[in-house]
Amino acid sequence: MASAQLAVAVPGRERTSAAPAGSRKGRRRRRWIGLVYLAPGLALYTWIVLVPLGQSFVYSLYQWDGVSAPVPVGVDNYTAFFSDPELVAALRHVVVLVFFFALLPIALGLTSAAILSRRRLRGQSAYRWVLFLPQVITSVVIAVVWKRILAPAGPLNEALRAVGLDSMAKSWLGDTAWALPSLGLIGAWVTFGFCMVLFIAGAQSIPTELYEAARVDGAGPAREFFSIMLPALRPQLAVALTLTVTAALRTFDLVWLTTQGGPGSSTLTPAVLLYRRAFQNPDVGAAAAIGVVMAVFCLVVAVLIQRISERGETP
Amino acid sequence: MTTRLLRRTAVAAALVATLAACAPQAAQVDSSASTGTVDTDAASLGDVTLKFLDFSGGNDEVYMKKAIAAFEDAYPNITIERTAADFDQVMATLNLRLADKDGPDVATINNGWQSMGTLSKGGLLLNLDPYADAYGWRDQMAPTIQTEHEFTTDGATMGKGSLWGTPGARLTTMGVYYNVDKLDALGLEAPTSVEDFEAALAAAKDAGEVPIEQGMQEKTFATAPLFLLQTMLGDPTKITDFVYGNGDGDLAGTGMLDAAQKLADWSKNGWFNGDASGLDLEAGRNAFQAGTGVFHFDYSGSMAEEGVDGSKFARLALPQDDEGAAVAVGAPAAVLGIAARTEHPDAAAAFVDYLGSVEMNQLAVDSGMLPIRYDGVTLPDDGGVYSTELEQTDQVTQHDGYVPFFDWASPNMLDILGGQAQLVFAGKSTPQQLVDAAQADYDDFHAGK
Repeated sequence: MASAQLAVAVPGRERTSAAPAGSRKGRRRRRWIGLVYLAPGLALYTWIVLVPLGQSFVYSLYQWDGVSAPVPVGVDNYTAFFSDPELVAALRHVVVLVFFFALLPIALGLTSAAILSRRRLRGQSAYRWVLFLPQVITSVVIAVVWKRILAPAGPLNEALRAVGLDSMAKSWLGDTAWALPSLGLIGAWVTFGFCMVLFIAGAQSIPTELYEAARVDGAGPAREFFSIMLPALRPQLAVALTLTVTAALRTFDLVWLTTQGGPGSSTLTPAVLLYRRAFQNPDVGAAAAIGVVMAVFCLVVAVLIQRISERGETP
Repeated sequence: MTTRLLRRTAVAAALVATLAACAPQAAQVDSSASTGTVDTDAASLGDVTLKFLDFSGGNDEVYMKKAIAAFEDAYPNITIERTAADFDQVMATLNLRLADKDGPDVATINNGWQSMGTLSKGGLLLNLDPYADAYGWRDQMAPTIQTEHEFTTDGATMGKGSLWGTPGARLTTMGVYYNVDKLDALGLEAPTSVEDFEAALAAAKDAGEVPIEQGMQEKTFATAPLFLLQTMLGDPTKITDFVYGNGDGDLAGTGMLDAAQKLADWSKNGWFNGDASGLDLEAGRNAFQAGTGVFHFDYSGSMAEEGVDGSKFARLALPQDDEGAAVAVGAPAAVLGIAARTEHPDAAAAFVDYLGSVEMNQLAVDSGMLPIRYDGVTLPDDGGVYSTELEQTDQVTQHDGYVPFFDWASPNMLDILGGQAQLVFAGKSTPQQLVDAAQADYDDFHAGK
C-alpha cells in the first residue's frame, strides 16, 4: 500500500515545503525544480505501476484468452462478482482471513506489548527476535514447513494423539471445515511478530511519567492499557491494520502452495482465482477485473484507516 | 480557474488516450517463414540454432538431454539451445513466449483447449500438416493418439482437422497399481471386472489392510481415481466424443456419474486410507511404495522410480465390463509444437521428427518410460511392474484404445472436477452435484465458442 500513501503524502509535503514568502515567480520556479527532482521516480512509477494499472482496467472490459482477438464485453467481468459462485466464495473467505491475518495478530500483539512494556523480562529482545522471525522467512518455506506440521502424520496430530486427543487429529489442510482456519492461523503466526514489534516500539516512546501519574491516581493495568497505551499507539495501529488487511486481501502464495484453493473451493481467494484465470485457463479480462477490484478494495481500506487514525489525532 | 480546468481536461484526455492505446490485441505473428515448401533433408539446411522450450525434472530431463545429444550428433549443423522450466511455469508463460520474437522455435505444449486450442486458434503454432505428410507422422502413432493433436484451423473443434503437435516418443497413461505380495496374501488374483475389484477391496478391508492408498489433497491429482473409475465404467466412444465435443454432450452418459458414485461409496466404505484428504499424490505414492495399501491409482512410471523395488508391484489391466477392450487414459508425456514465427521451420520439423523416431522410442524404453511406437523397439522382460505396463500399453496401442484425459473437455474442467472429486470424497457434495457443475461449465464453454 506504499503507493496509496505516496500519492496522498506527496502533495501535502509539497505544500508545506513551498516557500512561505518571496515572489510569485520564485515560488513557481521552486515548484518546478521540485518536479524535476521527482521526475525520474515519477516516470518509473508511471511506467511500472500506473500504466499497467490502466492497462488492466482496459483488459477487464474484454473477454480475451491472451492470444486471439479480444471481444468487448462491457462490465460483464465485474457483474461476475455477484453471480459467479467461486468469486462470491472467495470474497467470503477473505473476510475470514482478515480476522486471522489482521485482527487476531493485532489483538495478540497489543496484549504482548502491554505485558512486555510493563515489566522488564529477562531476554526480552530474544523473545522479540524469535517472534519476529516468521516475517523474514520466505513464504515458500513457511508453506512447506506448515504443510508438514499440519500433515496427517505431522507433529501437530502426533502431539494431539500423545495427549489422548485422538479424535481431534485430522487432515487439517484437507478438511473442508478446517482448511481455511488452518491457513488463517499460519497467517496469524506470520503477522503476529510484526505487529508486536511495531507496538513495542511505539509503547517505548510513551513517557513513563504518564504511567506513574496514572498509577498515583490508582489506575490498574487494564485502565493503563486503555487510557494511555491504546491512544498512544494509534499511528502504529493504523500501519499494522493497513498492512495486515491488505495482506489478507491479496493472499496467494500460502494458499497456492498448500491447498491450491481446495478441498473443493473451501480456501479459494480472489488472488488464486486471478492467477488461475490469467495463466491457467486463459481469460485475461476476468483476471484483470479481479485485479482491479482488489486494488480498489486495498485503496479504500488504506484511505479509510488513514482517515480514521488522523481524525483521532486532532480531536 | 479556467487554466486549471483546461489543465485538468488535458490531463484527463491524455489519460484516456493512454488507456485506449493499451487495449488488448491479438498476438501479431509474422508467419511468413512457412512458404509451403518442405525440405526434409536436415543435413543440407546449413548452420542453424534452434531454441527449444522444455520442462525440467527427474527422469525426463535426463532423457531429453540424451535425445538432444543424439540429434546433434546425427545433424552437426543444427544446434539445440534448450531452456527448461517447471512444467506449470512453461504452461503459464507459453502464450507469451511463443508470441515473443526471441521466443522458442520448438516448445513443449499441452493438449486440450487451454494450451494447444488457444495457441492454434491464435496463430502462434505452425500447422504441421505439410510436415506430417512429408515425414509420414500420421502412420507412426495410434489414430486415437493422433486425434489428440488435431484442431480445425478455425479453432472451433478439437479432435479433427490439422495437426498442431507431435507426441515425441514418451507416453503417459493412468493405471491401477497393486502390491503383489499383499494381493497374494489375501489369496486373490488380479481382478478383471469391476465386481471382482470391489470384492478384492472389501476383502482387503476385512483383513485389516488399507484397500487403496491415495493422496487427494491437490485438486489436480484428486481426479486420478475419478478418471480411472470412469474408464472402467464408461463407454470409451462416449467419453471421447464428449471430450472432443462431438456427441450429445451429456456428461452423465459418459460414465462420470457412475464413477463419482463409486468414489463416494468407496470413500464411505473406508476403502481409502483415512488420511487421503491430507496427503498429496506423491505422499500417497510414497506410502504405497513403502508397503501401505493393496491398490493405488497413479500415472505410468510412478513405480519405476529410483530406490523402488519394481518386482513388488504390478499394474492392473484395467477391469472393464466390456471384456477384451483394452482401454487406457493416455497422452504423450510431452507434445512438441513448432512456433509459427520460427525462421527455421524445416530444421524445427527435422528435430521434432527425430524426437519421435524409432531410436528415441528405444531410448524411452531404455529410460524406463512407455514408448509411443512399438515397431522396431526392443522391450525388456524383467517380469516387474515395468513389464506389465509395457505389455498392457502395447495391447492398448494395438486395439487403438486411447481415451483422452477428460479434463481437456473445457478449460475449467480440471479445476472443477478436481474440487468436486475432493468434495464427493469427503461426502460434502453428491455425485449428481459433481456432474451438474461440470456439465454447466461444459455447456457454457461450447455456447460461448
